[in-house]
Amino acid sequence: MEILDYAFMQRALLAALLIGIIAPAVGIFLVQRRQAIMGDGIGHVALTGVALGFLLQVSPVWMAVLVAVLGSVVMELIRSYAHARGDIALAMLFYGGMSGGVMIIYLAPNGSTANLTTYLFGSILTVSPQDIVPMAGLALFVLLVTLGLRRQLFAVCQDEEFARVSGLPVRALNLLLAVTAAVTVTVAMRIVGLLLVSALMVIPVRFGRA
Amino acid sequence: MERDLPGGGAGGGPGGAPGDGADGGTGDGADGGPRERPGDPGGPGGPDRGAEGGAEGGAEPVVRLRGAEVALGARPVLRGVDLTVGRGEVVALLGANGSGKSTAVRAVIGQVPLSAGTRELFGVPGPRFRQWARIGYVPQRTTAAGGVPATVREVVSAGRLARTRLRLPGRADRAAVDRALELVGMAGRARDSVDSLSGGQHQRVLIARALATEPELLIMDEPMAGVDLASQNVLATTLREQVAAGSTVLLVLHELGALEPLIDRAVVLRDGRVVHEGPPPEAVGQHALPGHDHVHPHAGEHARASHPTRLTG
Repeated sequence: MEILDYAFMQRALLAALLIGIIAPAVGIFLVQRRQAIMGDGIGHVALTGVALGFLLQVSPVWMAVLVAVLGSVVMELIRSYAHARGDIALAMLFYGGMSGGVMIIYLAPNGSTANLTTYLFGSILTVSPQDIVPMAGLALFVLLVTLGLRRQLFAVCQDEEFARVSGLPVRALNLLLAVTAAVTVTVAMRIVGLLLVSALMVIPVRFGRA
Repeated sequence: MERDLPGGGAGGGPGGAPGDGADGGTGDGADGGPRERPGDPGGPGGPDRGAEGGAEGGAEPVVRLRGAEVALGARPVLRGVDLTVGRGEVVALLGANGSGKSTAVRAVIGQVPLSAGTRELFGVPGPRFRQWARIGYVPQRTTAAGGVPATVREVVSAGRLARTRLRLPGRADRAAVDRALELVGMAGRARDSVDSLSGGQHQRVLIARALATEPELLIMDEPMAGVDLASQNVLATTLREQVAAGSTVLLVLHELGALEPLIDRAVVLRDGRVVHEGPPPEAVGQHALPGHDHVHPHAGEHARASHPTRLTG
């Protein structure tokens, strides 16, 4: 097991552990609300953030967090106001995010889609010590929300109208869940990649059924 | 101030719904408070309190709609409905599909916005009402199950959130959930997945969820729809006990059925207007009601207009 003596392997394991815990913790609420695909959508939108980070010469990860949070809030508003007819609007948001990322990356100095590959497919072995600390902080935020508010989030995802008549702050909880999902996606982006984040949010939930 | 309508017109839009859920916690704490406060008009003591309906001295209606109008998109669904439910009263809303009876109860609890008229709950104007723990709501049962199977107990426990809000549930909350499960005869199924239940059992779980709140007012939307006879009897017994204990009940029914002896007053809606109000007469049995004709909600105006008017008397 001397492979574990390498610091980069230890970081990779720690990062995988964090994602392995928080992704299904958020995913369970999305699956309950039949929004299993939302993680995927946020991933598409986050790509625009990554590319913007390259263009503006700032951290692609933090830019992705910002854009993914904005995107997830827009998705939540579409879900809440447009209902069934929001379907196409959501699809356009997803593809817009993906194509926006590709377009913007070519505007960046020396940019090409090669820069995006790391983020699309993840690169677990290149997690740096500087990555681990913010990653752990964001993971802690996700855990606090999903465990601390699990009863309230359960009620909102299970029967939104009943939750409103219970006097729960339904809109705030919905937005919080959307933001939490966005944070999870962007934390997991460096590990498993934007294209496969959603799998970690959905598949453990599916097999975790009692 | 209410939300936009699910599946309804886009008329509301984001601008039409400020401050519904997000400000839910800012009201006077309905949570945790004792339910025995019959004389308390209960409002947060707003400046225009004198205008509230407590003038009758403790006999203020629990529910009051005045001239309520609701439109779903461009289609008017309620056209000036007056509805009053007094304390301890059991009122049934009857009518054909599409007559607006479900919309009326959803308007009462603020789930569809009024385009005209006013609503009051426990003497407090609807928009300012925050004492949600006084209301137990049983929505129309949907067949759509969640993506993650929940247990009976988890679903019923959600009924306590009106009291616990953001704090952790305590022993009293767990006891209330146990009692609610006992009341509907589902205590033995507490750990089972709700997906494994029959329609009638599922309905009993939704009623237990409302009872777990320990409400003063029960609002039920078609509690008997798709419910087998055994469950109907359990529900009728449960409801009788609640009424005997002083609960106020407003329920939407397709037909009176097993609940008929409990009903103090029937309000019959047709095309968004009240066309009959009074004690449930013999004639308003299952077969005399327009509801028995199963008019499809999407049927055109012609289908409803050509309906024989049986209840104009």
